[in-house]
Order: sequence, then structure tokens, then C-alpha cells
Amino acid sequence: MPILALKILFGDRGKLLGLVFGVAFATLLVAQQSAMFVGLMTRSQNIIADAQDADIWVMDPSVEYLDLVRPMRDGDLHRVRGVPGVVWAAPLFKATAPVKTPEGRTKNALILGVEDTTLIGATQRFVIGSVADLQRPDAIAIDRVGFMQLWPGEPLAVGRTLELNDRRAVVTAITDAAAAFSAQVIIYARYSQALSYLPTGRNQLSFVLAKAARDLEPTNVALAITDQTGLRAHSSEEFSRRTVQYYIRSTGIPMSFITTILLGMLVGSAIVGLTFSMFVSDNLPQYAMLKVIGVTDFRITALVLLQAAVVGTTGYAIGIGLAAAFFEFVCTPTSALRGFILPWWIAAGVAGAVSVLILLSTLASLRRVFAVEPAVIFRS
Amino acid sequence: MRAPKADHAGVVAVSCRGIVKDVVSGGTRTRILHGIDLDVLAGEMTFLVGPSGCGKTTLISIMAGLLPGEAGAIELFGSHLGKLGQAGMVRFRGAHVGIVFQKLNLFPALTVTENVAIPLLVQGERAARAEIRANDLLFEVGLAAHAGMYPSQLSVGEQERVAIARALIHEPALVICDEPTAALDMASGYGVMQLLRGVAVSRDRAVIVVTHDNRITPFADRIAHMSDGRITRVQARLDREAA
Repeated sequence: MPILALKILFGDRGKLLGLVFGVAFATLLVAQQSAMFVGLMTRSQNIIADAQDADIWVMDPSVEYLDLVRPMRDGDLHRVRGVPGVVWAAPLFKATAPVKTPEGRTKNALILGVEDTTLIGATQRFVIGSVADLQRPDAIAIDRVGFMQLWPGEPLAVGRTLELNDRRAVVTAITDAAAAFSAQVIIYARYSQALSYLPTGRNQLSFVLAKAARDLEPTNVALAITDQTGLRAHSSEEFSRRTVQYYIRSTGIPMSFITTILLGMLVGSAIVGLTFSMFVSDNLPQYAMLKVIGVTDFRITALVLLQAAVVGTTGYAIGIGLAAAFFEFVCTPTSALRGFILPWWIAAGVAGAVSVLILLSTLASLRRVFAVEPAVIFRS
Repeated sequence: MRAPKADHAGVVAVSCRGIVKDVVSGGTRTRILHGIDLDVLAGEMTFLVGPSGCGKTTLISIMAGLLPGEAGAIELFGSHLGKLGQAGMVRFRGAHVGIVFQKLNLFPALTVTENVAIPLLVQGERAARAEIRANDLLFEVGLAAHAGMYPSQLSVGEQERVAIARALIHEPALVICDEPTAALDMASGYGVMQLLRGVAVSRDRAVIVVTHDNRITPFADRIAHMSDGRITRVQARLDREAA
């Protein structure tokens, strides 16, 4: 009997293609857009994640998220260091500046200045060189993708020079830093050197990175810092979450993605629902025929569910395959979409959503199968 | 339901007593069958004739267990259909009733063999054995060479023969044919009726043919005339020949 159900399904190629297309379309759109959204939100806090040494971020009370910088006074660093439970505290300078190669190519770069001696706050992921190479004169570490954008087609190598606000910088290391929200070139330098690239005022301290004592929760130490200094302080996890929440709350990005995702679900549901409904309608005489020759409603339900499962599995496989291909071939390491991936849990979530979509469409159609009187076949 | 395998020729295979059927449409109840009494004998081909709307299709639907009646009783080889319940009725149909529909209702995506084998598959027979039996039956109805074809590749007359084979494959006690010659020309219609006589009529089976087609009445052993939901007359072959 299962073979019979499959033959009925494959016998109507037009509707089968419509059904598979509907499921594949919904899967592709929902999976791709969800993963893009998650990728974008992940990017918004990559700088925090890359500063692996620190578990507390301290900032001006008016700062709500990573990309909003309100400089603090240099003395605030010492005030943070004086809070009980803080093992160490290091300054972090964060700003954007244009960089220029000797060949004349210009890009905007995110400049991150980390403490001169400890170099705390720099990424630990290096392709060439190490964090210690930032100690050299005029040294900067540039991210791999940034290097490829500034010197396209050339092999990764240290020793190249850049111009940053008319000041010379030498690439001494190449990092594998995760892309930031706006996908700029990411440059790490010593704090004092970074300040010299952007001498815009007396107060330049963007953030203070701190480490909580081993036996203390970073959240509690952050509260203590806020209590004693009046500065805003969060654990790294909390600051990441707040940064993501800021983008979700204060920008149109989530609404745009959610709209597309809902439209994908809606259009996919409409295609699948209508096509499946038409498929069942067209096959009602055949279902009635099966009832006449002794097939129970239960077995017919099983047959229809089998047909739906085949359609759902095929459509999902095509859709998720196309989505995976997008992230594999479009989000290349040198593209603006670098770092975007299709997480397994999104693929699993979309599978769940598609299953619900298929199940609802099937159940809606099955009502008519149950309702059809076998005697109708004499009149059809 | 017991399997009617004994020699029942001439005994009452289907007994209808006081069958009443109403339909409700737009709040109005209309009586379609007014207490039908009819006996169908085993080993015979009984024709049910009458004008459109007289209740023939409703009567065969009730006899086949496809529709419940409001009142009355039907026995098939001594078993009361009214006592079977819904699930029992479905099993009963699957095991003991074969139907040849006017529109045939063959499955277009299945081959001729697969179409014929379906009733056995429904009863849980293994596909390979069901297809062997289907091919045997196709040989009997002269379609052995068409076994692997699809219904759309056959003529209407050939499709009719496939439908007959499908109705007989599970050796039902009751075979109902609804207008089997309606879409056929004279020669094809005769061919189909000869086939029905040859393969469907047997000592332990009742065959009921609903028809408007006067050309095929010579094939009938007995003709039940219906009008306005009533059996008005039952004519046996001998009576007709005498007349």
C-alpha cells in the first residue's frame, strides 16, 4: 500500500513539483534569512568575544552597546582597578579611521588599541605572527580579510606599511579576527600608538576591560564596579547580549528579517497548502475508491501522511541544500558576508517549522478525505 | 461474515427486506427508497433497470454497504449487514463485494496489473502474490499482453475489462456493475457482457447489473424494474422468453 501512495503522488508530476517547490522555497528563505540574521547579530558582538582574556567590560554610563563609544577619563581605569574583586583592568581604545596603502588603496578600519604592556584585549587568533609582535615599533596586526582587501591577490605577508592619519604603521602580524558588524578592516595596535593615530581630545578611553577574581562571579564584580565608580559595567556575556538586544530593539534589522521570514513561511504555506489541497481534491475519487474496496480512514491517513512526508523531506532537502550552498559559495572568506554560516540548530528549527507547515496542510486536506462518502464514487 | 464457497446456485444470495432510504436537502426530507423487497439469486445475473432518479444507485450503494439505510434489512448469504458496524462494513466490502463503476475509477498512475491487484493488497496479500493472481485474471479477461500498460494506454473497452478483473480478484460473493456498457459501442458492450457472464457469474456469487441499456437485456437471468423508489416488477428469463 505505501507503494500505491507514492505512485499516486509521483503520478501527478505537476502538483508534485509545485509541492516540492513550495516546501523548498519556504525552507530556503526561512533558513537563509534566519542564518543571516543570526550571523549579523553575532557579528555585532564579535569584538567582545575576541577579547577572551577579559570577563568584564566597563564603559561610560551612557553607553548601551559596543559600537557606541563615549570616552571616559583616563583616571577611570585606576578607579576600576581599585574595586575589590578586580584582578586586573586594562584600557581599550576603539575608533574608526581611514587607512591607506602605499599603492593608494583606501579602506575604513576599526582601530582597537590594547594595553601597551599586557596587550590584553587583542584577539588570540593569529594567522601570521603573534600578539607579541604588537610590541615592535609602529606595529599593527591586521585581520586576514582586511589584508586581502587592501592588497588583493597578494599572499599574506608581514612587513607591509600603511598610512593611518598620515602616520606610518607596519603590519607585524595577521589575525583571524572575526568580522565586526560593519565588516571593516580590523586593526589591533598598542593603546598609546592607537591614540596617536586618532588624537581627537584629552579623554580617549573607550572601554576598560577587567578580570574578576577566580572565586567571584563577573556579574557581581561588575555590579561592584558600578556601585563604586558610577560607570556602567557588565560581564562579557551580558555586554554581548545587550549589544545584540540593542540592534534588535533599536534598528529595523530584525523587523526586516522577520518580515522576510514570515513572508517565506506565508508564501510557502500558501503554495504547499493550496497545492496539497488541490492534490487531495483531484485524488478524492481515488481515496473514495480505496474506501470502497475496504481501506479504512486510518490507513488512508497513513497513506496521505506518507505522501506529505515524502514531499516535505524532498522539499526540505532541496531548500536546506540551496541555503547551505549559499553560505558555502557566497559567504567566502573575502566577501562582505564572511563568517556567515548556517548553524545546525537553524536547520533543525526550519525542519520543525516545515514539518508543522506540512502537517497543518495535510490535516486540513484530510478533513475532506474523511468527509467523502464512498458512495460518492457512483456519482463521480 | 462467512466465506460463501459452497454450491449455492439458485439460492438467495442477497435478500433485501423493507429497505427505506431518505435524503435531507435544504431541510426537506425526501424518501428515495420506499421499502424495497428484492431477492438476488446466486449463480445468476440480475439486472436493475429503471429511469434515472428512480433509486437504482442508492439501492446498490446500500447493498454494497456504502450507504446506510433508514430501515430494512439486507442479508448476504445469510449474514446481516446491519449488524456489522462501520469498521465491520469496511472489512465486509473489502472481502465480499466487487464493484465495476460506470466511470471505472482506475488509478492512472498504476499499471494494469497493479490496478487489478489493489483489492488483494488492501486485504494484506503480499504484492508479488497479488500481482501473480492479477496477471492470471488479466489472462482470463484477455488482457495478458496489456499487463504492464497504464490505463490511459488502453481503449475504454479494455479499461472496462480491467475494472471487471479488479472487481473479481478477491473472489467476492457479490459483484455490482454500474452501467458497465454506458460508454461502449454495441460490439464492445456485448464483449463486456459476455465476459461478465463468463468470469463473473458463478454458483457462489450474485451479480447485479444496473443499466439503462436495453441492448444487453438478453444477458439477464432476472430483471428487477424500479420506478420512484419501488421495485415494480421482477421478470425471470423464462417469463420473458414465454412472453
